[in-house]
Amino acid sequence: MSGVIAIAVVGSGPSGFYAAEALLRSDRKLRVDLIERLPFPYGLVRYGVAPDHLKLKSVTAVFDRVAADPGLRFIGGVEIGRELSLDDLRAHYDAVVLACGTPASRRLDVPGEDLPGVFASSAFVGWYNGHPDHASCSDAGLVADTAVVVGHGNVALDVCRLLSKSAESLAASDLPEPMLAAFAESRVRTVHLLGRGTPGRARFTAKELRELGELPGVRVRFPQAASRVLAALETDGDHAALLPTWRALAACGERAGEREIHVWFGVAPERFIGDTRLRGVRLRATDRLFAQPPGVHEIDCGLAVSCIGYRGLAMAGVPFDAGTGTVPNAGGRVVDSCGVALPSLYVTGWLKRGPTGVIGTNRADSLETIAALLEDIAGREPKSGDDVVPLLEARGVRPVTFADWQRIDRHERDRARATAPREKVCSIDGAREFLGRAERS
Amino acid sequence: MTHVVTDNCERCRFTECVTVCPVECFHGGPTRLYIDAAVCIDCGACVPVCPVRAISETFDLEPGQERWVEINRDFAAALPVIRAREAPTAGAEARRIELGFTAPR
Repeated sequence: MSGVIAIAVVGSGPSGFYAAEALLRSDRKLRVDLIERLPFPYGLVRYGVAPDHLKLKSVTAVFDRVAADPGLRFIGGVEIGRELSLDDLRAHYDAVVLACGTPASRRLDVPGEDLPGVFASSAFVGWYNGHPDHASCSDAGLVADTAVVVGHGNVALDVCRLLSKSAESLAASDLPEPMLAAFAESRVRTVHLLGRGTPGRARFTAKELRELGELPGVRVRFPQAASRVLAALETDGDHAALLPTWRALAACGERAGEREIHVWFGVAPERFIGDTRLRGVRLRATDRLFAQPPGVHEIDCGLAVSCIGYRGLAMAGVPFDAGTGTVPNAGGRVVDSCGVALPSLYVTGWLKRGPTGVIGTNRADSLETIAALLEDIAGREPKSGDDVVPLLEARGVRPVTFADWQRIDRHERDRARATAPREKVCSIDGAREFLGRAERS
Repeated sequence: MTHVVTDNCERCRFTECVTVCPVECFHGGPTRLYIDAAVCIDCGACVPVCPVRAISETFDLEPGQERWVEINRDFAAALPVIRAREAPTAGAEARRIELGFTAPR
């Protein structure tokens, strides 16, 4: 392992894989360890991309090609701060790239936010995507006929769509069986999609917004009058691209449907109401254009999901901007409070720039970070630090290799229902048990 | 539905798109690029970064523009993948202005 620059990339979502790819394609001879907390790679492609957006998930074929590079090693089931410390990484590698993403949710900070039935998007999306941190949730709040989704971005649209689709159409997704069963039994028939801004401030992309109008048996309505929505958009030149989509949605409100999605603007939750669990939400007006006379409006609901953005988690020894939930950096170099770059520490992806953009945005982002890293190590001798795996083994940790993941992947594909590409293993223990069985047999 | 590179790319070839393409679906000839629809995953990352708005979902194509689907398919099959940003064509800036996109990014 000596004689070669060794880089640790922490996190195996899109930004981590693209960082690894950029490193391995550089002229510098180096090796990359891609360290992942879970026994499963791909980050938000597996746990964030909606289960019915299967075409987007085929991006994993690109990550698999990166993983096949002999210069890359996947080290799964290893969390920084648990099995390894940042100091361990500093001792063993010439540079460290943080690509850990933003696993926490922004909070609304309103009363009642912690009532059962109120979810942050990380928990609700994590649950239906089978994320080990959230998959065990036994009460996803699908018991009442009305749900509220807060936020005007694509995550909110994903949640609205999944809550509004029939069980038959959801079967053609990689929703795990228990979650598919929960959606099939869901009593939710009306979803209120709340946004605090005007239509022009909504951060939907056209394709995702259009999908909302294409759901069979679903009527999209604008409780504050479609004409007002369109009028607000006409005057908002920045968002002309979405105008035809809004027009089409407004027209589909005319058709009948057994399920409804109500799109609201200029409102935000003032409080969530309920004693032992959520019963309703009280709204407040946030934009005069859409203010509701007589001012206060309540919606009875049994489920609320707030999709208002994500935050990174602070790591010991790494500067952290608590306001934005990101790691302060200059072009990917992690900087301290004075703006001075810390040696050999880099950041990329959502932890670097916040939770915006689509999968490909992370490729350009990681290219920038890795260009900075390569500039810094130009002419530097390799540290020739020891391999980290013996250290892990001495600590009783057996890392999950990419070959292990490929075994899990085959297992997931083999046991999938006929309409689904895979049936995910939804827990870390489940993955470890499967690998143990596979090893013995 | 897929994404296609349309007329505006011709004689520009800014190649901003390839830096954000997650799957390397862009193929290039000497004066412009094409998308391989079989590889594109419709993430849409390339659409806003094109300085001359040359990339479109087929859904958004104007009537009469459907030919771009075939053109992209055929030329992508015949040309090499473009993996990294390259210098635009010599006349790219003039062409950008001609197309009405004045503000440099």
